[in-house]
Amino acid sequence: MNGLDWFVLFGTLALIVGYGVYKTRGTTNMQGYLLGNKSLPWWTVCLSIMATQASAITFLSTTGQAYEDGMRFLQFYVGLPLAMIILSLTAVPLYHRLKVFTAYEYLETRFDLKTRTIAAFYFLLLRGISVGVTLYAPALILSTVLGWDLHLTTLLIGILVMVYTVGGGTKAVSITQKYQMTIIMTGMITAGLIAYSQLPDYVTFGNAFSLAGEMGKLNLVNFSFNLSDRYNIWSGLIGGTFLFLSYFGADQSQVGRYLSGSSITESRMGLIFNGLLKIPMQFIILYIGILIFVFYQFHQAPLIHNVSLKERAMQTEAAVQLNSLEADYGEVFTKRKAHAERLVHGIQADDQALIDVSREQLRELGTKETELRTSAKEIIKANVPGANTQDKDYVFINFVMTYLPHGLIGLLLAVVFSAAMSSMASELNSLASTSTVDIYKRSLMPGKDDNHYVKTSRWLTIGWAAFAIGFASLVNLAENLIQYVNIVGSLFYGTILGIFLSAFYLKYLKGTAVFIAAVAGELVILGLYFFTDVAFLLYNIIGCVAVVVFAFIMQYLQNKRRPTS
Amino acid sequence: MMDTTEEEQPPVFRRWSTWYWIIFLAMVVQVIVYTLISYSFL
Repeated sequence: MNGLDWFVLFGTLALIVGYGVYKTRGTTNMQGYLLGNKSLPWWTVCLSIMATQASAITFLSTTGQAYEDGMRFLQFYVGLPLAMIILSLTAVPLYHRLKVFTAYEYLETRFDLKTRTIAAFYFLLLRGISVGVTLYAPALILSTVLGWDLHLTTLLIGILVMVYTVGGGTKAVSITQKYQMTIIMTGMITAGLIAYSQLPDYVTFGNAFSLAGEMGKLNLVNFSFNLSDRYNIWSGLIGGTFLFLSYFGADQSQVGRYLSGSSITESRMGLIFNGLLKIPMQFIILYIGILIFVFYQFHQAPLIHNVSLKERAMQTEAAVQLNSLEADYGEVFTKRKAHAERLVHGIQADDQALIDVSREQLRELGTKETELRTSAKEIIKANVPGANTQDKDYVFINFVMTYLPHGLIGLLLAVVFSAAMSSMASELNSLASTSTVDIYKRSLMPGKDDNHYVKTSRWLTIGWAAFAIGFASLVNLAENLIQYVNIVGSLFYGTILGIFLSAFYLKYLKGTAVFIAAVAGELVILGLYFFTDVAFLLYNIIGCVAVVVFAFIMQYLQNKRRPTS
Repeated sequence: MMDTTEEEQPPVFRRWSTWYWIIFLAMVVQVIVYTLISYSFL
């Protein structure tokens, strides 16, 4: 990092934050603060939806995922376009027509106050914890890479987000996301191009693609039906559609984005274009990971991508062992590079025998390399207390810090900060609107004027931001944190989806039955969590089905007891 | 599925089925392209 990088990094962040504050100053009514006056065009809605979903971890992790595991992760998104179509047909016109501020408000119209409140309460629980992680996860990586204090990094990101989210509300969130998304995609594509440009001259773009394919990294689609395999086309179509329906239909951090569209059409177009663009976007991000993989066939990859962790380990007794591993790793790389060159020549000459031989050699050497990396991780773990040796998330950022020219390093760091800020902003905004509209205004302090509720929203945004910063500063669960948050999310998502599914599609069901089912369904999930080994990803489906089934039973019993006229 | 009456449909989505088909076809085309990419290197 030099002066130019710092200038680009802070210049970009300051411009975005400043623009967000300037464009949305003086918002004093609820409609303006929580729904952006319902004035946004579809492209802003679309970029805002995409920026909300794509957190910093998405960009850091996805590239690392492709580097290690190939591109099969793409299948996770296959269900997204279908979910967007279904929601455009159902949820969007409904929310718009009812002029709701939050998704949960609709539940009172459809059912009753208690069902609305319990759904809002579940949402606040799950989103409240996840906003802490949205902040913590990138802050941990950035602080490690930049050598900053973790608390300082969380505080910096948290305060930057708070400045425009508190000031301008939903509109500030959406218009800043538009620019953040532009910076993110420009930066990512630039990084990919640089990786490509630093390949040896004789390796063409097509050769790079073929090389990755020969090494089994272009496994984009897998049609085999296997329940234990997380990424295949069927789990993407079925599980993905299900997951995205709940995320985009019942999670206020997304509902808030498309409710700010100026009409049903604009909101629908925002969702539809999200469905059209999301898969190509993920393809590009994954492919950047693949280009880095190809790049590291010709340049030596670090033994451990989390370089600062390795440096810490080098201060301990582990240094001797690590040095010896490093030497072996260097030798393996030299052989690997020679075979990679041969493979490219084989591809260029269309020499199948050469391709087969070099591919086999590369596979063997790849296994050796993995063994050396695993040994290094074990040594580090044994010598650095509490070390998280999972370095997948550091692959991309370490490449950026090592191989990108100055100026672009600053831009790419701005990408990571922007991605962290854009997701966090939507989450804070949705937490504030749900706690203001569904809890405070509806149940605690009804009948005040708009100004009062806007002020409350601002204070609640500050409160949630302080909570997120506190959470991110205090937790130290490093390795298990993301898993932990996914579990917490899964504990509530299924139940929330069950409530919304009942509301949208099952007209037979009424408020009390759904409320009791929501409580019972949640107890079932908590029971599964505490007393069984059921995989937590299944909680989403089990919770949803449990709510619907319980609601049907309750409704049936109720109708039997009190026959309706 | 919710009922939506004709007058509530804004102009663009009178042609709603067009958008529906565009996104659906885009998805199918994407899956075909990605499948071709996957299987050309196996």
